[in-house]
Amino acid sequence: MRGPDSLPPGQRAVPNFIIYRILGQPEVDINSWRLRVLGDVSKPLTYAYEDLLKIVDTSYVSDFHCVTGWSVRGVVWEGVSLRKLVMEAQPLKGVEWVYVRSLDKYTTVIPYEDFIDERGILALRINGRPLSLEQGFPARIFIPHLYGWKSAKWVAEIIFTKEYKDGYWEALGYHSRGNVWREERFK
Amino acid sequence: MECWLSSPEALAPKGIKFVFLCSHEPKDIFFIEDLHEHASLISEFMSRTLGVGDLKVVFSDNEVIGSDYILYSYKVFHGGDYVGTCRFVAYCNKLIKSLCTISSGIVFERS
Repeated sequence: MRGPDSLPPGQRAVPNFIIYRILGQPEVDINSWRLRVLGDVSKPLTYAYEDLLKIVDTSYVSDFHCVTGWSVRGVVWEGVSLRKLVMEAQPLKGVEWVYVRSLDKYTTVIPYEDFIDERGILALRINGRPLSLEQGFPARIFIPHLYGWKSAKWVAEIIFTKEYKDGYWEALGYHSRGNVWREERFK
Repeated sequence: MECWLSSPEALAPKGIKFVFLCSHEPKDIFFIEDLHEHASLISEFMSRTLGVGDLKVVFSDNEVIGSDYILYSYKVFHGGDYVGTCRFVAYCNKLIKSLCTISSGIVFERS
């Protein structure tokens, strides 16, 4: 049983984010950057950064959990709910996975049922400020109950699909879902 | 021990060509030495599968994941060249899984 202040099993609180850039720091030209929502959807979408700022609808406080074992408590997240993007794009029947591709070519895969969790967000701001480059500017995924490797930074494409395909860490043995409360670290 | 060889598209940006994922019966790991035999087995298996000789798997470091998992990292050398990495996953001090990556075209250029 977990209380409001409890950490998931195997996690310890640290004062701030540890920055990982496994494929390096991508350059971001915010004028040409676009978020594309595509794949098995009725309505493929393309958003500029300004478009997303206009539809920000979500703000909450939630902890961030890295699979290596550290957690940052009480992070303020602001952005666009993933459900809003889903409702706009209208995924086709049978979609089970969401494949996320970033500017640095990093990829990860998220079960559709987790992607549409009510707290899933395309984060544009953290702790009251726009994302820094190191934190994934202009946009990163955040789903509170999944480990941080699912929280792809520098998001470029959100691809709905019926077929499972490993992303970067999944190809290295990490879990297809990564639920922090079930401690789904490895496959 | 059962192993699967794959070439995941997701790892191409990192220059990784092959992934060996092996599962095996849990084995107690209390000292690094407890992994030596396993490292040799993996090395021989990869060498044979890729058709190259003398892949050497050498202990590098280890790190904790959460509170119950420890990753033991090994470097893979071909000749004197660093060509990949192995990570042996231990849960509560039992080896449960091995994952090795082989990078670039170095292996095949020399095969």
